[in-house]
Amino acid sequence: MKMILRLVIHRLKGYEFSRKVWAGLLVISFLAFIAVAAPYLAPYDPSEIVGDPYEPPSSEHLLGTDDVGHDVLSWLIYGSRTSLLVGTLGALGAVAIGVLIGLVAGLIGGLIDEILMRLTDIVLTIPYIVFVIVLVAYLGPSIWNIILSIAVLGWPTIARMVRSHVLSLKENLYIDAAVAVGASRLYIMRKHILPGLIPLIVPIYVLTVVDGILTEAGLSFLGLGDPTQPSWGTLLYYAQIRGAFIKGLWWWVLPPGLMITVTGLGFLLLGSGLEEYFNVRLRERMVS
Amino acid sequence: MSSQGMSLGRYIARRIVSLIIVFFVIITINFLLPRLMPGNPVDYFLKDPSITPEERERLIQEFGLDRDLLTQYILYLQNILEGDLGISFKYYPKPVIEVLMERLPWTIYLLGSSYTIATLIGIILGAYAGWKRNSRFDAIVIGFSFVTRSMPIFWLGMLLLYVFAAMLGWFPISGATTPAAQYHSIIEFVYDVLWHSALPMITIILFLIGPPALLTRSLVSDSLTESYVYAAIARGLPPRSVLFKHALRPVSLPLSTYTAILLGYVVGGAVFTETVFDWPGVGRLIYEAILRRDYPLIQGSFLIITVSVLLANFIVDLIYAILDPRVRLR
Repeated sequence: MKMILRLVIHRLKGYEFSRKVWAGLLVISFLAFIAVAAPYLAPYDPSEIVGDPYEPPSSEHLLGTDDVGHDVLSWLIYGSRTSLLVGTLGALGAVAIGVLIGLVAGLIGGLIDEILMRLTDIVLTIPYIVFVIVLVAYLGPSIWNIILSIAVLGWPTIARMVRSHVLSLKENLYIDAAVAVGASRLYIMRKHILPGLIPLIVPIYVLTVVDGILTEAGLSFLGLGDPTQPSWGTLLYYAQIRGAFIKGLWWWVLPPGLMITVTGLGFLLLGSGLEEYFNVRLRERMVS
Repeated sequence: MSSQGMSLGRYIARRIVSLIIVFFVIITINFLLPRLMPGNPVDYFLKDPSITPEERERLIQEFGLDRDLLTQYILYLQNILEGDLGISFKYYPKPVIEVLMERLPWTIYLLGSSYTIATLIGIILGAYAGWKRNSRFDAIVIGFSFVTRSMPIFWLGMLLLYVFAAMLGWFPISGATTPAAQYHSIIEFVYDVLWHSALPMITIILFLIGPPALLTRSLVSDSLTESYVYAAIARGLPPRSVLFKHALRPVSLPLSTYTAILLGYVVGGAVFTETVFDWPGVGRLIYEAILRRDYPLIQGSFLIITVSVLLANFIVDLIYAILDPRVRLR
């Protein structure tokens, strides 16, 4: 694993990653490991009733049980799957739509640009989380509907950033040169614009995963989570309904929130570290 | 002076036109959403068993649910302009608009005050962090912003609720007023509301300080290399006035473009915070409506929230435009 990462760094022309990037990667790989190895790590099946309700932590149930007797630790371990799946796929959809719209608007310009940017402004004025809540309430609470809603509503800021980046890339002299020697639009896009967008898109994607994870947690907390998938937000939904915290059942409330925060922080550190990393590279390239 | 007044007037006119367009788009989305979903829209609106057959028939007539889409749309527009948003299932037979109007002031109070306080604190913290870049203070501001950015706001609220309400008993567990309280004066009422709103307000403020702080931090630390800041330092101005009068100056423009995103963010936070603290606002209403699958109420809350955000956005933009003429050039 470490070897591969070393190689990746080497490929990136000897630029060193910051501590932020490493910390983020560490947290994310740890969580990915938990998600993949969930069946081996979890002591119980999270959907089975394996104890009495409201059992405090014991050697049998390390993090106690919830209101019906599910093992909280097993639920937490399986919850990482839901969180990572929804976060990464939802963000992938949002970034794909955002890049497509930003690219088309920036490259073609004119009326199409105007229309797409108005559309972006409108979606941006509607509070994202509220829109997602209403959409999932209509579509029905399933993991795929949540992913779809994140993708369909999460793209506007991405489209804006991509568009303005495309516009500034178009100003470069080498684009003029390519046009002068008769390169086609498609060729220029593939050879010059798309590679130029990578330093923008990669950190944006990672940062959008944070939003995806928080959106999934929030929807589940409101009772709009997929009832067939164990999710950290769902655990907190039942905890809130049963007044778990007021009753002092901390093992039911603290761990899921902590998991969400740590996961979000991992992606946030990685995304923000990559942002700085690519910025530095961009600046160095402009100087040389 | 006169040319500046002209451009401000034109700016406002342009903003009003786009406001109206967006308003209609939002109404249309609101109209289409349930009708694009699988199943009969009539079911969404009339699913509730507590509605009598006569009432059901009357609602079908009123909203034209048995007629074609265009007629429905025109009727829908008419009803909205008359303030008729249908009847809530949960609060049957109360009209949705009445339920909303009872809730709206509570949300405006909670959000308006926490948004203002959080933005001010965020700008000040961010300015000092940018001024003292790479200091310990800077690291604390960044760390705080990162942690609150990745933390679910409802969990933060639950933690505060546990420590300060359940354990220490300093603040009430839920609601906006003491149930069945007899107030002898307006001051007593205000005090009661302030006491009840302290924890939800702190939750939203903690959640909302980060974004403006990070933005201000990077803007201020960038502006420190500008010649006008050097000039101000060279003139021997005290650091504090260099920071707040010169280095902080160019912040209003990027902050204003950031407003829309921040407003959406704070409203999203309100839904969760109000739910945790049982605050009787529109945000909690959405949660109640979802629990009961009360579709008219979901739609009504969505409409009122989006329109309020639209108006708030407009007002904030206007304030920035008056403060900083460059904003009008956008």
